[in-house]
Amino acid sequence: MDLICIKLIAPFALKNISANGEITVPDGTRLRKLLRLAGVPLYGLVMPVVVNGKFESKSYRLQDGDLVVFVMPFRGG
Amino acid sequence: MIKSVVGKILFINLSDGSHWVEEVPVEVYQNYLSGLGLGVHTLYQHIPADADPFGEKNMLGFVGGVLTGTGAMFTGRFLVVGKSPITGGWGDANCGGNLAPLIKQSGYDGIFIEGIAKEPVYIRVHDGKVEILPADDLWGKDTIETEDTLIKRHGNRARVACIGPAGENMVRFAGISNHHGRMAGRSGLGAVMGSKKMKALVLEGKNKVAVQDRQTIQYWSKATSKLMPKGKSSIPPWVLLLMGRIMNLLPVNIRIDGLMSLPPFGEWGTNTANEMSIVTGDAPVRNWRGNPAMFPTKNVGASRISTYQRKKYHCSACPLGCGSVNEIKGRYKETHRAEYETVTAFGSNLLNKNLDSIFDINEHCNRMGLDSISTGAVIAFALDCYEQGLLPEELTAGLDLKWGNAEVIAPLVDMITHRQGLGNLLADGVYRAAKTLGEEAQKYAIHAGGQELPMHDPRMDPAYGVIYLADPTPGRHTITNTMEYEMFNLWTRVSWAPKPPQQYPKREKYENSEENATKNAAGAMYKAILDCAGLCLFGAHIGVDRSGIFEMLNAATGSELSPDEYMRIGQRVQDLRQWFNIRHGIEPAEVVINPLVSGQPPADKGPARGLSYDLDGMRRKYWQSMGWSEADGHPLRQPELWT
Repeated sequence: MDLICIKLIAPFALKNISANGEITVPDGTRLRKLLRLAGVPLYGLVMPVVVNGKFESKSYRLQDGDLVVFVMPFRGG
Repeated sequence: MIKSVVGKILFINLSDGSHWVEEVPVEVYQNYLSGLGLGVHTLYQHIPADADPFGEKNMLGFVGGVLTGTGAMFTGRFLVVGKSPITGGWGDANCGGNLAPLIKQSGYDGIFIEGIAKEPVYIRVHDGKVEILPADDLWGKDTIETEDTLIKRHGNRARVACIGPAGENMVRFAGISNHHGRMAGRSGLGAVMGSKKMKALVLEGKNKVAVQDRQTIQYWSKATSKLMPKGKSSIPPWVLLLMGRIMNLLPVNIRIDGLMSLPPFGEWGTNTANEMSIVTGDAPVRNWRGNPAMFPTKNVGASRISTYQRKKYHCSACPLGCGSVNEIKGRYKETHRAEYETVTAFGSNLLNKNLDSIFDINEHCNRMGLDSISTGAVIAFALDCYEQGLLPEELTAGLDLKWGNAEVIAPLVDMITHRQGLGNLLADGVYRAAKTLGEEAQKYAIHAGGQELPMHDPRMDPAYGVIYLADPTPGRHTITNTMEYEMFNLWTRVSWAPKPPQQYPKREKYENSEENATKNAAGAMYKAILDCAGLCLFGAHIGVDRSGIFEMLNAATGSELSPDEYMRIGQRVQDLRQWFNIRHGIEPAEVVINPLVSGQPPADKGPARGLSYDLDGMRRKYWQSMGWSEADGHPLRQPELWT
């Protein structure tokens, strides 16, 4: 089974993640499953997510080297 | 000589029409870089301590950054520097648009102007040559007419920085415009330009910027571009608002990675924050004495504002493009999308629900050449004073100065611009206006060191309070705060920068701790580096580890400095800004801020209810972390100067 490496940036603690925020999952893993594997808390599952800067649905099929980021509001001006 | 700088600065004396060029000692670049550092190093030595901000001896400088023009991303910022007529001390204003690269391309790292012209003039610098040309035909024109006229006269390659009628009339918070209304707004430097009878600076040139290691700059620029959001955001703004509400209820502060906020920011720019800032208490309501219940957020929501959008645009060398041009109704056809600061200054802080009027006033401020933060703030002050019966009747005749009355706000902007009636009082800023009106009015004057406060309430983040009060240019929101420090990721490069936990109790932000002081000092030093490099603060949100700022500085200049050594440069720049003030009679310990912002007295409603903190104690600890005396705020190191 081929494995792919995904980087996750989240505002909460994750499981199965290396010190630099990476997780290795089987090729073909979809975003929904990744979030489960990484132990994303329930409220995190409804948060918007971007992959490589682009909004993707939870059925998005991940590619090796993808950067997955949870979107948070910004305060500033 | 280090690479990526020209090595020369231009001086122009408008009193006698002379100009001369000076070589900059290499030690200046090694110790202060360029941009803000070059500006403060030059003005510290050239402006005498007794100089009147509106007098011949004050000097106005335009400086570009070390990285500007090198191909590095997010380097489209320039700074205007001078002695501020609103604070009486060090003044600088940072601006995007399209002017920044032309400073070096025209042949200089900085252009410094002293003296006062007999008649209105504009300065043209092209490929190193200097012309002082009559501007009688431009005097009185707004900033956009002025820019268009000068571009028509000198060609499409010319770039223009200019003032509007507010600068001509020396309104103390007038700014300097480029790129059709992008404003170097703070510190009142447009009024200094007006006092010199200088209408505009026109820059042309093709001077190439040499760098030591272009490959490294290209590597980091590509890496940065890859991180930028792609396509339209599919998040409805109400989702972000809901998340903001939830975050408000949590007892913990969540450390936000800059990449998390990038997608909505790329689409809506600073307007992303409009609604959330109101509900979380960050945005002031009703001259800072109201609460979110008084102002329905949907009036200024990003989704509503997006309906006005005609096209998006990028500043020079920016891969993000947070700006847009919006179609509007009324006397103007279009305007830059009003920034969060403007929307809040003319929206919730005045209880003005009329978004059309906010856009109209935004464009009017841009054309008149006004800092929209201070303009909104002085109007809020006027409405409060009117309600309290503190304004003399002869100044308010015919004006219905009620909260939220858009019909009176727009004319007030004009009266301020032209110093007419009540506008003449307000044109000197809230601090001076309150002094004229009497002690009671001081309560309603929301300022630090004379400069009107930006639209972020320190009761929700005391780091703002410390910086508003302790920065050498008081009342400044673009230095650092808790959220921005956490986005900078400085701990990944700087040995002594504290790494905040992913989540921590909110009450820790209110503690007068060494860690908070160190974070504020690190943020302030880093911001100084950004301003020396010509970098955009929003670009820095992606984190120092992803933007490669320190690596690019070495690649551009050929230096081999460590991040800690660059932070020392940032500290040196902050030291000299502080020394400038002390030299000009401003004792750091005597700078005051309206006590309301530290919760004195505590608010009785809204998110800030009951919140207060020891601002004076936090300021003293910040001074210590900056390497300044805890007792009086004087830097412990003497100014380091080269001539």
